[in-house]
Amino acid sequence: MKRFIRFSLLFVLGACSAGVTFAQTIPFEEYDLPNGLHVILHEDHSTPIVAVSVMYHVGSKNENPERTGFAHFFEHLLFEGSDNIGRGEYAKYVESAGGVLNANTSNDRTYYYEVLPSNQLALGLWLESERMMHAKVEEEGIETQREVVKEERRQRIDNQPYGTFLQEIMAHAFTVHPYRWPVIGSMEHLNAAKEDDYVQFYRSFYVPNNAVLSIAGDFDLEETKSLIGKYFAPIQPSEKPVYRPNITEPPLKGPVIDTIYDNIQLPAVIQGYRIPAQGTPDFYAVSMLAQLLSQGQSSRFYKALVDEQQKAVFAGSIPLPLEDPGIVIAYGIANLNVSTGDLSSAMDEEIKKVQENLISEDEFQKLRNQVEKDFISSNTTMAQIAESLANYYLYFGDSNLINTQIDQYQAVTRQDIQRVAQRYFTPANRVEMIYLPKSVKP
Amino acid sequence: MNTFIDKKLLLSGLIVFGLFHGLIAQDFRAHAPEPGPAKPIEIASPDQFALENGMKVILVENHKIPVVNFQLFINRDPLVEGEFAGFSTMAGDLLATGTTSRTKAEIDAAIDFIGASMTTSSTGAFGSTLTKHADAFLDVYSDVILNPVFPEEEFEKLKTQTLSGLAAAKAEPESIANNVVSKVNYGPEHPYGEVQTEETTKAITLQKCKDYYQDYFKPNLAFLVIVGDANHDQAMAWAEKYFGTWKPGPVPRTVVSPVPLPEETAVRFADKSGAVQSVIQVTQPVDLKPGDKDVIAVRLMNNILGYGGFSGRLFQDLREDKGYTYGAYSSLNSDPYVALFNAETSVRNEVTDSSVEAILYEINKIREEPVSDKELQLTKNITSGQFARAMERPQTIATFALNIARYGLPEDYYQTYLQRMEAVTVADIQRVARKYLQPDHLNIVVVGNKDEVVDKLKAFGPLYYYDNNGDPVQINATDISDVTPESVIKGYLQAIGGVSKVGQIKNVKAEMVAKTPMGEISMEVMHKDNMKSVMKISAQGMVVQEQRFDGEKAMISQMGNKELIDDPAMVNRFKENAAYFEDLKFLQDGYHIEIKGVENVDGIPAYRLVVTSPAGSISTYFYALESKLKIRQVQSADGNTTNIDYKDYEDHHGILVPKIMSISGSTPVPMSFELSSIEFNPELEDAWFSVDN
Repeated sequence: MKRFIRFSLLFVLGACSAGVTFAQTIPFEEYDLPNGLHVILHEDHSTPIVAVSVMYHVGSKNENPERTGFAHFFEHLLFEGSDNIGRGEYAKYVESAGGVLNANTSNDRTYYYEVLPSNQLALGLWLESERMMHAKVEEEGIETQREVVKEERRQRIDNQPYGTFLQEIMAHAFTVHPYRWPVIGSMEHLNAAKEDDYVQFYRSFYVPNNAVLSIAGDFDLEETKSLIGKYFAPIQPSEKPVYRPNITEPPLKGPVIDTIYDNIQLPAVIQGYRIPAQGTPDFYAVSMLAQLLSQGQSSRFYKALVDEQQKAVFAGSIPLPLEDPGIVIAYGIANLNVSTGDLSSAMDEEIKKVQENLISEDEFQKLRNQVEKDFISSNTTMAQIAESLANYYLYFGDSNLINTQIDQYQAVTRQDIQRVAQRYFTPANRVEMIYLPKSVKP
Repeated sequence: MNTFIDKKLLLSGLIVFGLFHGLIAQDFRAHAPEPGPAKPIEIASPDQFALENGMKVILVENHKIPVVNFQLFINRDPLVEGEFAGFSTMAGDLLATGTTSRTKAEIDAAIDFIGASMTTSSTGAFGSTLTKHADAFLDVYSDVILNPVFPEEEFEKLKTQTLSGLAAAKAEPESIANNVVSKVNYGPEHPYGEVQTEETTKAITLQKCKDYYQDYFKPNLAFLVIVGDANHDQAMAWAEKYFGTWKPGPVPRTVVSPVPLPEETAVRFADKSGAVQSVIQVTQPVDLKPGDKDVIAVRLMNNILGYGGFSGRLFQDLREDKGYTYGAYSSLNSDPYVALFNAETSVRNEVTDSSVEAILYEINKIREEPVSDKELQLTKNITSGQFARAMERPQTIATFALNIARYGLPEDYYQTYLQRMEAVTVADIQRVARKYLQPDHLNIVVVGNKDEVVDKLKAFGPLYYYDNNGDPVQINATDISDVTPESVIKGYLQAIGGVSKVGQIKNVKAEMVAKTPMGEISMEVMHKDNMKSVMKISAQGMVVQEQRFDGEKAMISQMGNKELIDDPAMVNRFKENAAYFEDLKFLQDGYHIEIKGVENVDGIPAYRLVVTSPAGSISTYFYALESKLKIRQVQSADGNTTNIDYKDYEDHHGILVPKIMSISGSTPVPMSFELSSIEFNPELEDAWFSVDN
């Protein structure tokens, strides 16, 4: 009896003191088709819906420097139709079935997905396989989408206060690496491109050996595998290996500083520091440093700059997860009577505190608790799970990171956080964009 | 037995067969595949119980991830806040700014430490936490709900922020439209018709916020909705431990009068000077309560008319067919007191009237013509798809349970929802369209550029004007046929001291101070010979910005960084504004002045004068009819519109000047400057105007 009680007490205590005790494991199956398409399947029967998605390992960094904007352009173009799908019909099929659809492009990859009632799985597979096999890449669609992208650029970037910040940071932080040009690319390049340029891009990158098919939701495993074979197996892989840039950006040797006049009321300081690629130990440490600075109202930037000193109305830090070495952003939007020089100094002061003083155990535990909550909450919907699985496979070759990536965060120490602050958050490693209102432009 | 088979024949047969099979194989791609049988959507019943003090607890278990969400909801009647409109919102925002045992910093630190999140509002508080930190979370969460202290300092900070937000929103066409829609449909005395303004906000006291909390935050009005990784015993234990001591008590009730349909269809217009777009909201109040037998048919009808995706008729008509807009949609929900139908879009000025016409056409069409079977089936698919996707979030079940409790719906209301939806017929759609949409009783609200769009809108009904807060304004029918613009300007100059006296003023030096959320700002202006000017803005004793014009060249300096201005248009603007009493110049050659009519400016009838300078800059000035004083000016440049209001004229050295100058539009927050001193014809050094040092 005593032994039993002691045993169960130990068990309870063990459960309480474990660093990570979350119950969820996301199960999945994965395999390759002969044509190179990687398939990942996660079954979940709690709701009769299914997310069907395809991630192509092509982003702005795969582009020809004279033809930038292609990857993003294709995100639009590939809704124009296929040999069997009329122009504008993509969205109609999905909406008529009671689903939703969307797509997005980054510097590294392009992602398409739909969320459908589960009895429409075959529709999702048909739509995505049509897109991969023989999408319409021809003059009429190209013309239309050029206008749409022009309008998108106007709305999302040109007319948005501070809308050009990412473009500016990247253009200043990178001189040889393709990250130097924006994902939306150049209208000149898109206008100058011929239909054949587009066709070549499609044939080079939109191939099964460059793609991951990721499905999460309520489906029958055997039936689904069979349907996948039917729709995707006949698609031919590319003849040549897929082009991946192998370009190393030299050290920045900064600080690099520039001023941008924009349609804004409040000046802003937006900085970018060069950091290693996602998935590296230092990237995780930088990520936690960014949390320290800006997550929650007790964070360093918020508390000091916004609350106490009132030098900023907003301030924060965001690491950009990129496949090649990238950047972490630190920003502050200045309060009315505060100069950008003043704000920049105040931001530097907070960084200096982290560089010179190891954070307390308490503050460190806060960061770990935040990471745990965020990680657990980030994969609850079928759409989130489908995308995460595809991401983890595409970038790291390990879909199971959906269950284990948190370990990488938990491996970061207080000393690591101090060390990366010292190593990366330096003037020599920094680009700084000062955003000023147009009204003060000379 | 050996059978001789011609290999060639066999081979060619196989090839043919293979091709044939390939063709058939490809054929399946020619069409979209058929769906499988629709899967039923399981809707679980939540666990519900009540504490002794009357607080009701709803628990939706979901153990997928070790996270628990808590929502406290105060199920009170709608509120009439009257002259203090906005106090309940402020009270809600203040809950987490301090309790009897914790400061704001301590609350923030405690929530952040466990990686949780928490927000508060006038009707409760929401939070999300890992299960293992639930007790630590609930300790802070319940403290904030049960023991807030409403610190004075935080109240003042919040008030200033709210006023800035309101001042900025004042100029936003969407905000203006919402204000007008609320007041004209519900009436300004109805809880839904109230609008929070700068005036009502200024009147709010800390005590009003405290009283609100005392009146309504009682367990007998409260629901605690727990969603996630918890079971019945756990939920009961938490509710008891953290909310068991909450004392019940009486709560005020509100009697809400029914809202009549508008007597006629009318256009309700609010002017936005210089706008290039119109915001259109075609609205009417609707009597449709949650749980009514027509609710589902109405939802389908509204989806057909104005679904938020591409397939709504409004979208197809106004965007796909006519290209007027990026989007056009409609909404018609249900409400226990009064619901609202709203068909809305934003369009370029030139197509404002055509867009209203198209919306009215679609409203009439869905009433007069039955929809097609195909359209109805499509809408049913969309609706059940929405339903299925919503079920992915456990929060949806919680909302269902809350609705059932609040509105007295049948227990199986949501379980049978989709069946009842399937049963809706084409005839039902037409019936509810005819019953609930009333084309002869619409409030067509438009916010836009009066000079450009108003005339054509008169075709849709009588036209009434409203201000930014949604209150009616009288556009004066005062006869202006024998009033000249010159006489208006001369009248102003006479009123402030006389044309010749004003004409003798060559130099002016004035200082003003404004209180803003970011501290005190002072402005100093100097004008010399009506040709040179200086403006300095200082904060905390330091010059933050300075502009100088030496008669020919201009300079702007920001925090000590000096830049010469080389844009000729901008330099010209300095030239035009170089005289303090610029109105004198309007009487000179080269200036074109025109009276556009009489308008009410904050309730004061004023002549509206449009002045075009020799260089082509256009500004609008308002001179009060009675006092003759200049009370407002509006200037547009580079896409920005600056509005300056002049108030409280007072005598300085025999000249009347406004004590208060309120500037909005081109500043981050609207700023109200109060005159501290002004000198006429003082000695001013040329060096102070120099752009070279």
